[in-house]
Formats: sequence, structure tokens, C-alpha cells
Amino acid sequence: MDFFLEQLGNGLSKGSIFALIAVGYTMVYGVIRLINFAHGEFVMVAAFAGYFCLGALPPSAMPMQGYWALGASMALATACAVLTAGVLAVAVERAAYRPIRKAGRIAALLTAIGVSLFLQNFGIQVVGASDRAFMQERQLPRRVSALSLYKPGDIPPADIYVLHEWPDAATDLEIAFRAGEAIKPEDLADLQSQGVHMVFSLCPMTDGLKRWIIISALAACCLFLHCLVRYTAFGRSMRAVSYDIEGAQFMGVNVNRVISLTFFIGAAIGGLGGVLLALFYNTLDPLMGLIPGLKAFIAAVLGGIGSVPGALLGGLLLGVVEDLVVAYGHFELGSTKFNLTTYRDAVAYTVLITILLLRPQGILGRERAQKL
Amino acid sequence: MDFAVHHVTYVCILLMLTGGLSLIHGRTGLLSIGHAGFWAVGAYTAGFVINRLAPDLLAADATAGSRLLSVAAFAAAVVCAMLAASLCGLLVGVPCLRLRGDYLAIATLGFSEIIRVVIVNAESLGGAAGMRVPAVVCVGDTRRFVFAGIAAAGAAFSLLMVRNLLSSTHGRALISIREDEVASQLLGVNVTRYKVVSFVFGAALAGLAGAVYAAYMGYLAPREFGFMKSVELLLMVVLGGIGSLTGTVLATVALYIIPEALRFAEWSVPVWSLTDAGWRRGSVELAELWMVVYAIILIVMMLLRPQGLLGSWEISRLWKKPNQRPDATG
Repeated sequence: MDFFLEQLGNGLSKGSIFALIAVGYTMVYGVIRLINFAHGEFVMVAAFAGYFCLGALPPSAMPMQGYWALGASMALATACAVLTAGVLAVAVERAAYRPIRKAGRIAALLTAIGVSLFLQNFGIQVVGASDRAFMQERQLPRRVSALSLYKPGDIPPADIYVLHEWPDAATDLEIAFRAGEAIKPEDLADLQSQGVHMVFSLCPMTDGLKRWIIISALAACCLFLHCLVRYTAFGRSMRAVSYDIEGAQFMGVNVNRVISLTFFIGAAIGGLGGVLLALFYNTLDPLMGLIPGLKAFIAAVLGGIGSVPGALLGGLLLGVVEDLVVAYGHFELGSTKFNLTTYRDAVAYTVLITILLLRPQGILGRERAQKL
Repeated sequence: MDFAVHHVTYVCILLMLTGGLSLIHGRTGLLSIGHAGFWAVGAYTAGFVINRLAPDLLAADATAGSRLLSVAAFAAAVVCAMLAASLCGLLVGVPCLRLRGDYLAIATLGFSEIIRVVIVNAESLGGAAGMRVPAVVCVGDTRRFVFAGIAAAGAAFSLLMVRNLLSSTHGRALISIREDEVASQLLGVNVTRYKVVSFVFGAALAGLAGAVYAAYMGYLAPREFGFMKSVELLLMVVLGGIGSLTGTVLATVALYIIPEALRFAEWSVPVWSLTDAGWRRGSVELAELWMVVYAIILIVMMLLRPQGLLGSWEISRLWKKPNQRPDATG
């Protein structure tokens, strides 16, 4: 049971990330019927914006400590990521998608593939192809205390580091006392003679905490999107454009602005997904958007493309199904052994093809009659 | 010289692939971003068949009989590869009865990724480490010339088949489907059947390319058949001119030669890169920047000339009277 809950929690948090990314696909598809292939790359760019922002403003530089400092710097990094993704998406829409909006869906899809290729390879040139650790040691929250609180013979539960001055965002952490070892009187005296007054320990970023962050971010986004689509003038125009782009134009809706704003919001939520993706896997690289982007697209199709609740549902469902297949994938049927644990990536594509064959409009999508 | 022969062989293999894709995408208007999947099916089927039939027929002391047998094994591999790939084409072609445009594209992508995952996980196909294919047909110094000949024959066969198909009644039907599916249905074109036939035909040519590739390279790695390969093949068809076989051939040759030439030239360009410590100035070889340039070419092309460089122009117009070739795009 514990194993099942563990897998479910894992699947749900991964599914939440898929859901956040899928919102961008589904919103854009809803208004202009374009599979925005570059959406996964917006996610990647956002994650890098968050990474470099966190590098410039680590929790240790915040005027508070512990998880508050982490929260503050993560909030700044997320804001930076979200804005970057939104602005990038609006720029790409303006430069590449708007001129060919009338040229047909296949030309638009090819352009989107081009933008995706460009951002990936440009990213490789700018930040390098190797992957980076997202939550480095110096970016973990710190709990600062006075050196005078420690006495010889105490056994610290975690490593204690020297804090030279506040704020101290140095890359190399200088260990004062090791975890699980009794503090020696001469070490303490040595530190005191160096003029060290403050020390700190690192609060770990546990998987459970990550899960809560991710799932509550998803819940907040659900609420935001619901209010946006249902109760604002923009939401109403977005629904109108999605229903009939020309009709909306006749009724005085500024279609170009609605499309730009849709790109902005979709990419911004995807950008949040990107930061959470980097947090979840602890790593980021220029190709990180490709596979999660594809899977998020599959989630959007699964839920019913064009439907925002569908994208959220599809994301969660895909994340859970993928994890459960991997967790329970090895079984025996008669004398033959099946091992599906290494087929993680095939699960999503199989789900995609099945849903396209059986119910192309997705779980929550409505079937549209083809217009002549 | 060795170099040139290798490149000729490789371009010919690519031509078989893009010829088939030009039929699927350029003529019938079905967007496929999983063509490398069919190629992989062909290559691995051929590799498997050769491994079974001709494991070591061409040892140093091979007799004339075993040489003949190895040629037969290669022929069997080609046939099996084409059959297997066209079967896969049928499998993908049937769902496309229900899907249109971009949805179909995603389905083909999903299909090719499933194939790749299956290959990576299949021990009998070598898994992620790759599969060795024993030498067939001939060994030694003449081998690369023989394979250049085989590949050229295959490419000529593929292009001729596609060209003849296109200038027949069936080809006209395919173009009418691309231009307006509903209208062509009203005119009595069996849209479903033509779509499936187009897919199966393109896939069979990809299977042929796979068989030649497997026998020529002697080693297959699953990463060669990834999503990027499909995109590259699609770009060759799109850039040359959607619906122009001449354009496809030219674009295939050009898009293969340009990066190779850039690698040869070893030009370096200054770039700025972002490190943890801030911006840093460095330099990179132009060949490494090729993918960025590639993407820009695609985007600019779509913006300025979405129908591709040559549009639907064919080289045969140089010696045929214009009114002999009615063309849907005009």
C-alpha cells in the first residue's frame, strides 16, 4: 500500500507538471488550431531563466532564513521564468505564426517545428549541451545559528557550515562540523579564534516537499484559469475566438490581441511548469523541453484539445498511468514474463494512438462538425 | 575518393526516403513526422534476416556458392524489409482514415517513437547498444562501389516509381485529395483507399532504403532513427517544393552536402555563451551552428515561400509542352 501511495504521489506530481505544460498547448490550439510544437522549448527557456535568476538571487542572499528564504527566491525565479516564457511566446507568435496564419495548418505546424528546432539548437549554443543541477547546495534554504550555541561533545544531525558574513552566497561551502560526529573542543576554539560567530545548516529539499509545491502550484493555476476563462472579459473573448474566429472579429473582438494574450498566458503557465520540472528532476538542459512537451501535448489530446479542464485532467491521468505501468509493469502471464518497466516512454505514445483511434475529441472535448 | 563514394551512397539512401515521403506529404498532403520509423523497421528487418540467413558466408575462404547465397540473402532481406515496412505503413494508414492534418502528424510521430522504444528494449535486435549486420554481397575494396551502385539503382527505382505513379490517373487522384478532400470524394475518388496506398507505397520505399542502409553500414543504432531524422527528411521534402519531385531531389542533395561541406571548411564564428559566472565570449565551428541555420532557413522559407523553393515545378517541364501537364496548383 505504501508503495502504491508513493507511486501515486510521484505520478501525480509528474502529472501536475504535464498538466501545467498542457494548458499552453490546449489554449493555443483552442484559438488558432495550431499545435505549437515550440511550447516545450518555451518551457525549457523558462526553466533556464529561473535557474539563472536563482543563481543571481540564491536563498542565502534573502533577508530571511530557512524555507522563507527559499520561498522568496523561488518566487522571484518563478516570476522571472514566467515573464520570460510569456514574452518569448508573444514575440514568436508575432514574428513567425501571425504572418502565416492564413497559409494553412500544415505550414503553421512546420513553422512551429522550425521554431522548436531553432530554440533547442540556439539553446545548445548559448548555454551548452551538458545538463546542470537545478537545486545546488548553495541554493538550498539555510538555517542560521550562532556558533556559541554549540558546545564540545554535541553531535549535530546535519553538516554545519561556516557563515563568514551575511549574506554569504559563496559557491564553496566551508564545513565547520560534520553530521553525526561529536564536536571537538579544539575545532570550536579554532573557529572562535578565526572570528567566526555564525554558522548554518542546510534544510533539505525532500521529495515530499517538492510534491506539495508542485501540486499546490497546479491547484492555484486551476483556480486562476477557471476565473480567467469564466469571469473576465478576456476569457469571454477567448471563448468567442475559439468558437468562431471570424464571427468574433465581426463582433468587435480584437482577435490579434486575444491571440497574443493567449500565447502569453499559456506560455507563462508552461514556464511555471518548466521551473517545477527542473525542481522535480533536479536538472535542466537545452533539450529538457522536448519529451515533457510531447507528453504534455499527448495529455492535452487525451483530455480533449481546446479544453482547459481537459488538459489538466489529461496531464494528471497521463502522469499517474505512466508511473503505475512502470511500477507494476513486470508480471507473469502463464509461463511468459512481461517486463514493461523500460517502456516508460512508449506508454504515452500508446495512450495517444489509442485515444486518437477510439475518441479523437478526447475525454472532455466536444466533437466539431467539419465545415465545408 | 572513398569519401565521395560514401557520400554518394548515403545521398542515394536518403533519396529513397525522401522520394517516398514526397509521395506521402508532397502529393497526398498527409503530413508524416515519423518517416524514420518506417526506415528503422526496414533496416532492422533486413539486419535480422541477414543475421539469420548469412551470418558468416563471406569469410576469407568463401566459395562462389556462398557468395551467391549471400546475394540471395540480401535479396531476401530487401523483400522482407519492404514487406515489413509496408505492413507498418498499413498500420499507420488505417488510423489516418479518421485523422486529419496535424493530428495525423502527431500519430505518425507517436508510432515512430514506439518503434524506437521497442527496438531499444528488444534484446534480439541488439537493444540500445545497436545491431551488427554481417557483410553480404561482397567484401573488400570493391564493396563500396558495389553498394554505391545498389543504392543508386534503388534511388533510381524509387524516383521512377514515384514519378510514374504521379503521372498516372492515381497520381491525379492523390493531388486532388491534397487540394480538397471533400471535393475529390464528391468526384468519385476513393479517398480512404488512396491515402492508405500512398502511405504503404512510401513506407515500402523507406523499407528498401532501410535494407540498403543496413547491408551497407554493417551496424544499426536506434538513435539514428529518432525524431530528428524524421524532421530532417520532412525538411528536405518541404524545402525543395511541396509536390515537386525535382525539388525534393535537389533539396536532399543540398541539405546533405551543405553540413558536410561546412565540416570540411572548418570555419569558426564568434559566439557569446551564458555560463554560471555570466556571459562569456568564445568561438564555435560553423558546422556546429548548422542546426540553428537550418531552423532559420525553415522558418524563413515558411514565411516567404510556404510552397517550397520550386513549388510544383518539375524539371521535365524543360522538354515537355506546358499544356501536357495539367497541375492542380497552377
